[in-house]
Amino acid sequence: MFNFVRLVQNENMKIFRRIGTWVMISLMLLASGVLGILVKQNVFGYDDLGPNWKQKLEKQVKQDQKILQSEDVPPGAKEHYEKNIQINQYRIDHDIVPDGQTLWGYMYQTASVTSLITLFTIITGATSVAGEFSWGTIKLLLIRSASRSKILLSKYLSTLLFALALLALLFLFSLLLGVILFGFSGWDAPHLTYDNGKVIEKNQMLHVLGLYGLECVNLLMMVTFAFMISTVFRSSSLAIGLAIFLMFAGTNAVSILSMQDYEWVKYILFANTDLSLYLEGQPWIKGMTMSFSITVLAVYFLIFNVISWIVFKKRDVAS
Amino acid sequence: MEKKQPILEVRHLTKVIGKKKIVDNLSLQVDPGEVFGFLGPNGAGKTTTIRMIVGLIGITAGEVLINGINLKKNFEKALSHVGGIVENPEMYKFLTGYQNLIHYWRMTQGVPKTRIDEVVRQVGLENRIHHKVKTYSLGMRQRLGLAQALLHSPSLLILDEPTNGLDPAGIREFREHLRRLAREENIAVLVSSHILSEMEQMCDRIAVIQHGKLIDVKQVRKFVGAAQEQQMVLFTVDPISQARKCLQPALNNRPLEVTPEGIQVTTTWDEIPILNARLVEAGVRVFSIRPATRTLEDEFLELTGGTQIV
Repeated sequence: MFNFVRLVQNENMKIFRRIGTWVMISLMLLASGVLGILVKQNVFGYDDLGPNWKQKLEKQVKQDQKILQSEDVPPGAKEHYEKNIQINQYRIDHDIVPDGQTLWGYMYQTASVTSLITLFTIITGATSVAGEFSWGTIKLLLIRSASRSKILLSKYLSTLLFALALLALLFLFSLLLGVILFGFSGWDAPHLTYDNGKVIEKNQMLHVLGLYGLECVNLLMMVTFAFMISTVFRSSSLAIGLAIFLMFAGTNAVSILSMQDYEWVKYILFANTDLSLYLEGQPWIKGMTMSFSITVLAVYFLIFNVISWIVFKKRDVAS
Repeated sequence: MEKKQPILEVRHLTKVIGKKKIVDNLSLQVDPGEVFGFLGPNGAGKTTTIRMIVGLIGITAGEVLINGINLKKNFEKALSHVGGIVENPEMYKFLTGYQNLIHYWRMTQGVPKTRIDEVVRQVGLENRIHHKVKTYSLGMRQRLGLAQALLHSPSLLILDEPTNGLDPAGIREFREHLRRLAREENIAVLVSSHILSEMEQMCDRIAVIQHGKLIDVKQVRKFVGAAQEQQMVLFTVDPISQARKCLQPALNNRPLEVTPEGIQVTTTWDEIPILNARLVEAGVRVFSIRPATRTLEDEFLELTGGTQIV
């Protein structure tokens, strides 16, 4: 009986008619552009391999093999060298240019700009609810023929849509900029990963999308958290501050605590937000698995949303 | 006379916060085309009651029926008949007036978009509607607030302290607007205020509320049509002694009182010109004749027992 889409339209209007939103979008594009220039200038120290990259890689492989044969290599590093040797050898054999200073090398880097998107979405989501209270507009918003649940849901959804729009924009903009800066060389080259002594070819586009996707886990959790704080405390600055603080401090705290071998550390949200650890690398606590982390994340997600919903629904709007 | 269904019916409404009863067993009715005032000292529970009626504050006990629809059971349907301004209408300042109205229009059902232009014309904002709200004066915001409240042609308009911060011209304009709406569109209006004179001029009936309880509901006196009714009239005359001598026989033992302002007599509306003619014939100079009813202020203070802080 009620047109929910129009509520989302309303929220979108309130997001995109604010100047701050456009400042955030410009900053994001700027970050992507600066990153492109940095990669082009080779600030990250990729070897400028040039046209005779094969000889250089062969030299690298030999060097790595020499290190591997010497005796005092720790077991962790051993694996690392083995991986490098295998992948470099694979490149030489199959004529695949290394992707450091190519379009794809740049695209991998842009995945880090998504943390900026997380920040901006936290700001937008926190303002979405708390803003109505501080502007006083909540008094006119809640006396309409629309239930509070619908209003809250429309706010939450439009916040996530905002994040999605920024992600899509970042991806497309970076892709375009990448083509301009680095051309199409290595466009169809596969992404190489190393698994159990074997080199596997993967689609580059899917790999980049995967990197973006993994960042979204953290984004979704932090935005939902900020949304809850702003609903409960009606203060956007508190929500933004707390979410950003936790984003930075959370992972550090987990890394310190995990060294103490506490069993409960694995139930902390931030021990579970980086799912890439299960793909390449190691989880914080031994015995943690991907499905365990996803379960923990789902529980947190549910708790955050239920708290927001109950508080928003029951809140007395006085003064 | 046929009994019409009230637009708003409040039954035994109660709000408890902590251990304090903010609103205590309050019942009232508002009929179509009526401007109903809600009067009480600060902290009496006016705002809490109004906010319960529009669903901003939860109801502890009791019922609110809007057009016969129970607010608690069917919030969306009940509120589709209600337009409201709660305190100063706060709008989205970064949007234009028109975008603000689009926003609220999207939250209605079955209202054609042309209705937006209609209400804009009705409140006289045509020239500035496409400007950002942050450039508006308080009076213009008040008009925009009224526009959003009227957008879905509600049958009940609820206004909480609507004239707070308006200048006298703005208040006057607002008052006239309200009266016209009630009369022409048969809208029921529930308005709260702590300003007595304003309420007296705006309302048909006034409920006095204190300590969360409804103390009294008063019909605001209408002079027209009360021609046979006895009332106090004050004559400002000179000289007073001669006027007194002249009026006494005409009054047939009804009381006559000399006050610092003049002579106060109990008479009927029809009789006033006759008394005046007598005075003029006797050569008494008449400066003014006006009804000396007790003001709402007198009654209000009597009812609420002065200025107790709750």
